[in-house]
Amino acid sequence: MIKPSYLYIVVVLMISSCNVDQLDMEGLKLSENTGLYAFPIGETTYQLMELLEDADSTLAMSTDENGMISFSFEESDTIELAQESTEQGIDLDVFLRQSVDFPTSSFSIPLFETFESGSFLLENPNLNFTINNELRMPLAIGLTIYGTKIDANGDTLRRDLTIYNSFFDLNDSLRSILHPSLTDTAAILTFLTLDKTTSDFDQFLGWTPENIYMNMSMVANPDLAEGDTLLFIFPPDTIPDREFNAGAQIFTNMSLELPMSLHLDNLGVPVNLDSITVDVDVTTLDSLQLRVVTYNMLPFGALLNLQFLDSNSEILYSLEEDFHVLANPTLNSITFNIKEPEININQVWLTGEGIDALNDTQTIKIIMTLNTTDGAPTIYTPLLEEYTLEVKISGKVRLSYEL
Amino acid sequence: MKKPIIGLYILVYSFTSLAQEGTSFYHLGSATIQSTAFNASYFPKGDFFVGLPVLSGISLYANNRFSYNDVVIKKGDINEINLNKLVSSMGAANSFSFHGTISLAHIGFRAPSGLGVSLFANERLAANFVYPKEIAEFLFKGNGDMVGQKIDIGKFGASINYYREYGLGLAYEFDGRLKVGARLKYLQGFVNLSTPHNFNATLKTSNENYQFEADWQNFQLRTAGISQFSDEAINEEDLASYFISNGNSGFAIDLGLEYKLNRYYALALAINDIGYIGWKEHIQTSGLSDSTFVYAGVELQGGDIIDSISLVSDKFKVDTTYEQYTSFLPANIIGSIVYTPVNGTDVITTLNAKIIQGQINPGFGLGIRQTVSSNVIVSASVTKLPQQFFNVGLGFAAKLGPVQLYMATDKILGYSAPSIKWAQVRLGMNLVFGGAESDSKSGKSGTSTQGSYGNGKGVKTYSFHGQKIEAKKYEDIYTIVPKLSQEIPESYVNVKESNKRFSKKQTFINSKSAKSNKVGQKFKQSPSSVGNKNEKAKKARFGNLATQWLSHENYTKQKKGKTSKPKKQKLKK
Repeated sequence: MIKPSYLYIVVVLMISSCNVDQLDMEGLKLSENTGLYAFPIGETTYQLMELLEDADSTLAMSTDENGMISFSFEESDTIELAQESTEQGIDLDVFLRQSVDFPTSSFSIPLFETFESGSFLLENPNLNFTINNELRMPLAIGLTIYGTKIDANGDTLRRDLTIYNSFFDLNDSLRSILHPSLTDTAAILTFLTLDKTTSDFDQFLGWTPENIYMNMSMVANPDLAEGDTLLFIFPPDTIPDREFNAGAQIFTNMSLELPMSLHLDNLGVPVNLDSITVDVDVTTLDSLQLRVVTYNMLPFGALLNLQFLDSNSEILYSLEEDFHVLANPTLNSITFNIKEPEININQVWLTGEGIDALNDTQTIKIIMTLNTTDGAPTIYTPLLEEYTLEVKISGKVRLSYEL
Repeated sequence: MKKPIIGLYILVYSFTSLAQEGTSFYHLGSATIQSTAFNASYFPKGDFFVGLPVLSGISLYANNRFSYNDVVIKKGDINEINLNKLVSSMGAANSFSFHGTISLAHIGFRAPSGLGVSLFANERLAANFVYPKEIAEFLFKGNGDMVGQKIDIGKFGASINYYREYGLGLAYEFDGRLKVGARLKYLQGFVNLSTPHNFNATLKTSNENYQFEADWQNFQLRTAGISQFSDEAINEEDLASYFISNGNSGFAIDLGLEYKLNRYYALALAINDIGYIGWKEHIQTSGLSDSTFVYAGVELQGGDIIDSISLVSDKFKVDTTYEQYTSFLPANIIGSIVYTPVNGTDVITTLNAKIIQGQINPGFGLGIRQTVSSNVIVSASVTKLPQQFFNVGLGFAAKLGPVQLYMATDKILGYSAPSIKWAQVRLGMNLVFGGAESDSKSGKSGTSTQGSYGNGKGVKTYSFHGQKIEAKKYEDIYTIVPKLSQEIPESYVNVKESNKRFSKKQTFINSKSAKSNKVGQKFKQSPSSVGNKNEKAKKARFGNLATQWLSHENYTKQKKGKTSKPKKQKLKK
């Protein structure tokens, strides 16, 4: 039997646990919400060959039997000596030391335009000349090679290729070429090579000239002293050793060979992303994270920096520190193959100043700083066609907004 | 010591994520004809029952994870719904439930064979939404902190069923120990909005590059009976006809039993609402084709963001079909152990489980039922309902003449609009004819789960004091026999010695408790019994003993083979 006292307790409990408070629905609204949202931006797999082709379409690309990539450039010219000499007011029938200038040839290397700073050193670049000469008199060539590029201020810089004396076999920086004798009607080939043993060609290319110019001149009768004229008196037993065969031509072929065995030392490669529009109300952005995942099968590592540029290319914001986007994989020391990709996951947070800068950002500039796998300057790494790079970019934003 | 307590708490808590409401009412046992809705074998005492439309039964239940105070912060004149508080107030699994039942009619009678028969019709609404916290976190807090975590969207489910049930209930008792019952229900569906029980979906933001990985099967929202309410389609005549009869029909069954283990313990088990409704009219299913996709962003080399988004959006193209479908009722299972330490007092432990959207959600309740008088039964229960802390519930059923009133709630504390999260009540009024007279005579209304025992079930003979007697009637826990002589046969006086349980009872019945329980009221005391104290006590002992012996009907039946042949021992004087 339930005692009345228990009922009293229950009733008191019931009453004390209840009240007549009303729901206050006036001015009811949702609070500002803060959420952290992660999302993928994009991904891709780069083939090194494709990357290089995109970077430079003027240079031909090929691979050798080991899969190593080479750039090459080739240019030929034919010089009608009679015409050329006449135009330059030179009479080749007079046997004295005189010079005929060949047309200047030039070519550009757009690949080098993408490099901003640092060192790019090729192991074995070379410039080959093949000269097929029909002129029946001693000849030599004079050679001047220089490169130009435009600096950050828009000024054109020039650098000359230093050709070592070992390349020349005559005085006055002349290199003799073969010529046919008076009894020989066939043209005679001469092969010349400029490499890093005969010039500072590797350093020259490491300067990353965007355009390379070659001034070649032909010097007839280089065996004669300056000012001397050779006159042939025709005693019966005298046979002349040279003549100007007026229809003679000189065929020149210049080929540039750039095998991509290289050493990169903090090579800066900027990429401008001016097609990206930040269509977000940045006032809702509390912070922004950029996350880069790479599966690196390239023989170098990379650091990345971000710059936000306005419409005048002024830097509005720059990351304080580079962040690591490519980790150097381990290479087979003989074949330079990469067995497994080196996975690198890194992220950087933008806060405050960086997010404010997004308001006026016209261009996002990514600067990659590349270094070959082995840091020692004397070690060169070949670029193999099989090299790939898989990149996945994602972001995370903390937003505060009203629903 | 702490570990077992913590373990017990975890056990109880884990058993109560979506329990069955109405435990306090259920703990009233077979007090009302509506009790058969919980256990079909709980047919109440009485000969004839009438439940009037609406008045006979209204049941309401609402349960939400959070209250107004849990999510609203007052800032000056502004009442701000704070999303952080909203999310943090959630548990791993959350639900919103609203259940309502209105009785349209209920008639019951007990056939001469003892078979309890009832016919009933109820209007029922059951709305359940289940959702995991991680979905709310994903929506409001973003996926940034859930990177690498697979979000099981398939744990989300919605089920709204509005239907009418027409039923036939049958209950019968076998040999005083086993009661069984069944209710067969024809269902007439009106409105359904549901996700398929086999809906499954996951979403993951990958650790590496935050790419979205999702897959889903049976991602559908099915509706029936809703399209007719659109402005274009609405037609009052059609609506009226629809809500009388339509092609959305189904069947369900409730099964229940109770088995008495002995004088003290009984087990009850019921399985209810095993059924379905086949939806055929005004149906519409909107959903996504089964799919798996990974979105990793745009192709960085020349990819087009628009194309990229288009590819994804194609996956979310909603298809609409008009094929009939089947929804299952949220079936529930209720099992109880009833312990009867004292006549008229039962302690009930209840475990139940509700199956919603294919998920089993168990619950727990502990209660006591007390027969206050022949016409009044009360119950008090402690229940742990889903998402809520333990609460105290009360219930009562009382008869005033033929009118029976009942009301029960699982929640008696904490009624405050800003902080209330849930409420439950079941109340109604029945007309009960027959059975009351015998109740009053017995002085007990037999409100334990055994309470519906054998009214009009037939007459048996028993051996009493070594002589054959014929039972006049069975009423609740009592067997009513003709007036007996007060002579104590010598063969019986030593029963106390031969039966320890009797010995105990003898001592007990002689106490005040026995008196308060009115044990022995059915036996009119002869004037000669009013003698000296010892003689009186002796006779009272005998009277109580005899009454108790007779009143514990099951015990009588179980032991009759033995007790009808008491050992011939001398009564100690």
